[in-house]
Amino acid sequence: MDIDALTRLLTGLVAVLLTLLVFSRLLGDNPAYRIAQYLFVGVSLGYALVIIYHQVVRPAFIGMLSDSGDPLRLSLSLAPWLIGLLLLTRLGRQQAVSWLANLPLALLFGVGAALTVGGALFGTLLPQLLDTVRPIGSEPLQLISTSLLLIGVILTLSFFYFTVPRTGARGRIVALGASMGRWILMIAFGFFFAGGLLTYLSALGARLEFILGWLRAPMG
Amino acid sequence: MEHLPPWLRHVPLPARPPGHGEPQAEVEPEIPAWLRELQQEVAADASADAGLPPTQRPNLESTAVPPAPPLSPAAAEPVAPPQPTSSSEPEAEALPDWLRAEPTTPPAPEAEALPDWLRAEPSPPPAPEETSVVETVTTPLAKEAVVPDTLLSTTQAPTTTPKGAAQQPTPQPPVRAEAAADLPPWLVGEASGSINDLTSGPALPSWLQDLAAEPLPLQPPPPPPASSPKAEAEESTPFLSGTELPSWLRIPEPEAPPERAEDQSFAWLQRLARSEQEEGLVRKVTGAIVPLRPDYRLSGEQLAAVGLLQQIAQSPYPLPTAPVAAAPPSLLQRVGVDRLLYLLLFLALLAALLIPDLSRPFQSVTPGTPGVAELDTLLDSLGSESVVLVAYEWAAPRSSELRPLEQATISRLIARQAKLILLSSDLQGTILSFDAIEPLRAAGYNQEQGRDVGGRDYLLLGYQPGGELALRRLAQDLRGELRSDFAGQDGSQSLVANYPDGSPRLRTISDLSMILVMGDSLQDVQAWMEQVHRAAPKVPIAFVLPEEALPLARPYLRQSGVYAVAGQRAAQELQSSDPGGDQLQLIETNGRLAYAVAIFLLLLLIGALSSALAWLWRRWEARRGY
Repeated sequence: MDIDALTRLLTGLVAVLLTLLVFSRLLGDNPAYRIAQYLFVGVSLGYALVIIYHQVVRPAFIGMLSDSGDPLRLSLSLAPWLIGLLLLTRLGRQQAVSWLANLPLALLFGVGAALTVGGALFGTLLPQLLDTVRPIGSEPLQLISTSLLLIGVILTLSFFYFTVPRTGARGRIVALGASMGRWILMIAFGFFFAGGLLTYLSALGARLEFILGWLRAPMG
Repeated sequence: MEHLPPWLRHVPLPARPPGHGEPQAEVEPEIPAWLRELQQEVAADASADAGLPPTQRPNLESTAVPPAPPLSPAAAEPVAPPQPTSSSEPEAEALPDWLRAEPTTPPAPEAEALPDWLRAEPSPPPAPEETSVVETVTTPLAKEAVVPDTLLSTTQAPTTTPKGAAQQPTPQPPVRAEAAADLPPWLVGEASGSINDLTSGPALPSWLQDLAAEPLPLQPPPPPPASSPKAEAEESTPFLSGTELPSWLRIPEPEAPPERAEDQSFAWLQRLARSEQEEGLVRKVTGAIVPLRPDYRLSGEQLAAVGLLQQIAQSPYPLPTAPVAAAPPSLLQRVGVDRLLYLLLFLALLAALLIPDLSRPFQSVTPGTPGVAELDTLLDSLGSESVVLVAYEWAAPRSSELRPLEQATISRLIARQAKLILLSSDLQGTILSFDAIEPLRAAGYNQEQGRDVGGRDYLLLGYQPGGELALRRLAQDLRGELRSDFAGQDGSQSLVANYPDGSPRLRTISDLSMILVMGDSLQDVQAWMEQVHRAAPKVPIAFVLPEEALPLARPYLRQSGVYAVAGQRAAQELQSSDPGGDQLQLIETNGRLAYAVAIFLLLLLIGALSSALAWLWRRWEARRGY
């Protein structure tokens, strides 16, 4: 057995053991499962730190050093560092200057909110609203599809229409629509569950196949 | 006794010496009519003031404090007697002889030493009135028990004395000198006189002379009492607010023990009753009578509750009984039906891997998967001059589905020799994007005769921090994002971003031929649609997703230029047209997946039936009474 095959065998052994530790969750919460869980979180954080250092911090620091000859560019390069350092004022026990961290946080939240609201309005709500009432074509199948889509949207929205009392004629119509919208929601959730089932069964099959492949590897 | 005011009648007079007749007959005709009227008025005022609460009769409270009620009329209204007598001369004829004999005037008091209420007093008062004052003051002196100690010095040093009596010097005890120190200057001289000198004068009536003939035991004057806060509060009443009483006139009220609030509310009534008892005046209470508390009777429910409480108190505590030991759970209960079904599914999948024939009936050529044909057409339209932006936004747990899809799409792009820009805004997707380097190099990307030529066929930008902000920045300035790849090299000058002649191939994001996003959740689809596709709606965008995220992304897929494929079946169909793909293995994988779904549904049905049977069994047992 060469070195590469031995390396694959050992690394595969670690992966198999970790997989079995995760599968032990079927027996309930146990230390073996928690070991795998904590290991996953720790490795993920360590890996994220490495990525951020190599992809974010180090290039930015090298760029700042390269701009040291130009005061204007240097000041522009220093601005993100200074704003980022303000976040560290919350680390100490003395919270006298922790309010300085509000400045970068306000900047982050403000920009994030503006991006989210603008994107949701023009990237999700408006296109989907227009897609709901798209013009009906000449094909009968398209006519049925568009009509079902519009009716389904109205019935689903009526399920969340709680401000109308269910007593009068209008209220009874809304109640009927709400009950039908509830069934539409249940069908949609069934589709979501089916998609999730396929995904997790695929993952389970892939893990079992990996274990069997690792067991078969030494035997050729 | 009728010639005396009511507040003097109850004072026991000393026994008269033998030989003295009853003075009643002699004194009675000596009392004038105006004095009788005055006595009646004083009695009426006293009875009216006694009905008031303490807060409404400050003059009585401050001056006539028990236990000296006989002094109250004289002390409360010291100016009342002179008014009817000081003006009319004819009435002077009605005076007795002993009052007419020496109409002396008291020494004029110094104006500065007098309080305000004394300055308003008309002066000079006539002599008969002064003797009447002496009457009221000296008569209680005969009984020390009636006079409080604090007033003893005052009564022993009367304010007015007849001239004859004042001219007789008598030896002064030292205590008298101490008492005189508290007196105003105009009384200092008078304080040196004795009570015997006062009462032995010839101007006194006969009954008073007899009374004064008795020796009065001398007592040292008590020290001036310290004014208590309560006395100060009473001194600050409106009646005496403008006056400054000397210390010998301040009569402190004995400190009462702390009372409860309800007792304090009736304190004025209790004091009134006490003063009436001391005065010996019997008055009929005509005011409101506090009703007595009615007899409290328990209701029937309360009696029953009391009986129950008594019964409980008499009954002993029940002996502690050991809880009934529950039957040990069976093996099926300890394991649980759900875990048993999971174990069966695990074993079924393991058996399908070990015995491929088990899943063979489920292996078939995948029918047309929605979206795959459109994406296949789009991929076929790409060429060597096309630039495709590939985003790795998925994580390792979805590798069972997305790895085949990634391999299928990347292999198709490699087959079309399309130029690639690889990036990721996800940390785990970054390392997965590095896995694409090896197949690309194997396909000759960025390779020139075994030498690495960076930026000729693909650019690896690596991690783009900021999430949606990074995507927005990419959509606004794609060329700016190319200035630094994962190694820090400038990709904007590469052949991917420029034509061989140096002209820019990519100015904006709209110059891209296609955007391929490999995501694992709805958030990835939403972010790319909202931030990037909105900026370049004409650029086709394709999503490679797991089966779990595809239904959630359906609403976006109805827009034009948006493609999506999901799951292993789509990967199989994409690779079917790739001659280099391992389609046989993919068919087996899909067969096992279909087998697993069938087993899952079977186990789900078994679980539902077992639960229904268990519920029916429990209900049947409950009906039979077990």
